[in-house]
Amino acid sequence: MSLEQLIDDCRNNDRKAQEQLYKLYKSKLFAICLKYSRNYAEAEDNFQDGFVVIFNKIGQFNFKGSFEGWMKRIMVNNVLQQYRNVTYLDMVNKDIADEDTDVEIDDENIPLEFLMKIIQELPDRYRLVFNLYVIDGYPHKEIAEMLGITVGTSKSNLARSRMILKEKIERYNNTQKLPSAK
Amino acid sequence: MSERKNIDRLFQEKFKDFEAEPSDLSWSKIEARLEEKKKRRVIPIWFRLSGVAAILLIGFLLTMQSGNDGGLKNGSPVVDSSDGPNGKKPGNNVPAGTSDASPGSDAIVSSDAAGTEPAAADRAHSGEEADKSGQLDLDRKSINPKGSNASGIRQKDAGVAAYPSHKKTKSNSKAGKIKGKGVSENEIAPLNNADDQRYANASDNAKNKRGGKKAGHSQISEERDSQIVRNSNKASEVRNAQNNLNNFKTENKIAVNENNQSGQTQQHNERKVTEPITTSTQAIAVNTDDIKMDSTALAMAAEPNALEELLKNEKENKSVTENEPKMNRWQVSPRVAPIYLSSSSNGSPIDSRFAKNEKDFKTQLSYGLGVSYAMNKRLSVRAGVNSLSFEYNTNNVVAMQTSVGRQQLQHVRPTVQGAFLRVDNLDPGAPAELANNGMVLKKFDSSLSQKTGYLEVPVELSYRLLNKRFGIDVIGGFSTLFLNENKISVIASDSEMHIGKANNLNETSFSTNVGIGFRYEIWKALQVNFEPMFKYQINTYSESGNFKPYFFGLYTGLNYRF
Repeated sequence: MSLEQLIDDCRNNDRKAQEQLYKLYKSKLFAICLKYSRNYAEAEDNFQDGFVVIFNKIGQFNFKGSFEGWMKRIMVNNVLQQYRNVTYLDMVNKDIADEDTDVEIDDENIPLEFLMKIIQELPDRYRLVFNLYVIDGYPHKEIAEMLGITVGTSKSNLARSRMILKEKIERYNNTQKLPSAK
Repeated sequence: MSERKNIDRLFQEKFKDFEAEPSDLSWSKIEARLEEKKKRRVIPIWFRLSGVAAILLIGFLLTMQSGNDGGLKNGSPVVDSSDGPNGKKPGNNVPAGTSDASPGSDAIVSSDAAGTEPAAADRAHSGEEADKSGQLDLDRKSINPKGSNASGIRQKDAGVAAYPSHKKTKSNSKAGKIKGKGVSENEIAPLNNADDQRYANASDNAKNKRGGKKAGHSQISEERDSQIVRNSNKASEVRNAQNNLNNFKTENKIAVNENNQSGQTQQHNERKVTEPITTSTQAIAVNTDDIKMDSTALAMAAEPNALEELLKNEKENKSVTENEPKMNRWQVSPRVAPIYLSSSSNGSPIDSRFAKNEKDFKTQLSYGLGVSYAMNKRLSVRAGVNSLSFEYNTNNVVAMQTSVGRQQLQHVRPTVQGAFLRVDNLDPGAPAELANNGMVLKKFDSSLSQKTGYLEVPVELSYRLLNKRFGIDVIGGFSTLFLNENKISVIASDSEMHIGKANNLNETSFSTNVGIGFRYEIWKALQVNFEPMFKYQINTYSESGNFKPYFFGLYTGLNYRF
């Protein structure tokens, strides 16, 4: 069955087709939710919300561009909606320069779970900006629009989140190095 | 080995092909929410329609209730309307007939009129007939004057016996007036007056000097009186009235004669005669009033007759025009039907694994009460309440008792017992999932029975194709089904074990109904009917597993029309 056919069936509220579509994309979409959410439980909630939105809006997909991209964007937007409105004081000094964000790492030594954990631990807006900019490659301008903030804020949020992440990775590396030094 | 890396690159590389598995529950949660949304969209429309059913039922119950005192209610407007013209016409008549009648007499007439309900009118009618037959009873003409008349007479006698003095009799007559007031003042008055006169004359007074002249006067006035009587006789067109007036005339004449005699015999009694004369003229005046009044009373007595006929006609008309459709509009029909359940597709609402299993649908009985309201000769709205139950077995399954408390069926909320029973497919074609199961203690071939019960509220329109003694209707509509039984059990070698409830059954669901009705009229109010109905169920399951149930019902029952 072609993707078009599947999408068509989903539009007709065919439960079987919807399930099939779900199975096709659940892993990729859930990964997005994990990165953007505070923890696993919230990621699940957001994931389910997002999929319901996808099925409800599937009739609006016009077959221009990638269907996967369309779904991902819905997922991201849905998560953003959850955290965008959280009031958050931007205490960051906006003059923070793009300092050196290089970290020393043992290749393959840092597990993905740890990285995921530290991303999730970031304050909401830092996390969103970091994800959008670094991992999903949105430019600052777009991020600013999506989150309702200025480009400057977006940039400083990104810088701040890098610093936090760097700190945590270095600390992690140190704890890993200590036993190996022995 | 360590190297320095930009933090962005680190994350980009790590998350490049990152995928993560959501929990298994996620899909069912998404599905439930999709279902919920769909339901929300569907229900308002149906609920509005089931609201129509409710309104129809309530309307029926209300009309039934008012129908209980309907005997009164239906009757009372008739009485009212009869009172209307009856009360009005005499009212119109009274001022015309008794233009010089006292307000009191007016009151009598109108009170009389008010009293003339058909029955009273009948009495008046019979009284009138009695008069026709030559009875001289004035009293029977109308009801009220009767007693007072008699009392008047009695008083007159009393007056003669007890009060020899003229003044006293006068006062007595006044007393009589007061006593008889508002009833037949006028009638009492003349009699008393006549009595007075007679008494006065009889008791005699030598003081009367110009008695002859006065007596002559009185004679003249008497003649006038009788003339008036005659005139009024002529005036009255009703024969009855004539009869009565004749009677009255004779009475008057007697009184007058007495007067006369007394006048003649006691001519010399000047003073006393003047008084009698005046009284007699009074009496005459009053008598004329009385006669007029009587004639109106008679006219009235005759009038209600005509009115009565009008009324009767009206009533008949009413009963002809109104009763006929009214009698047929409402219809109550108790009914019974064997229900044949089936599914238009392969599928299992219990578990998709059983989709291809053989299903054994049991025939159940549905019974209920219907109410129908005929909007016109052909089209009627029907509503009602039926009890409805379904049962079917999914065959070729195997039940295994396990040590692991885990229920594997998709759409069953298990009981404690059921949780330790694993039900799977016997069909070799179906995927066997025995490997990941716990210890199997016992295993037996069985079938899975699902029982559901509903309260069905149908709302249908029926159109009469053939409207004879034998009739054919086309019926279409929908039913709202309210779940009231939900049971899944395993049946193995005649023993049954309740294992749980279906968790995918909607509390409220619907069916679209079409059917043909055959009727045979036993009496006008009673019909036998037979209605094969096809009902396709909608929204029965939140997740149906492609199980699309429908059922046939052969509804048989009686229609009672009223």
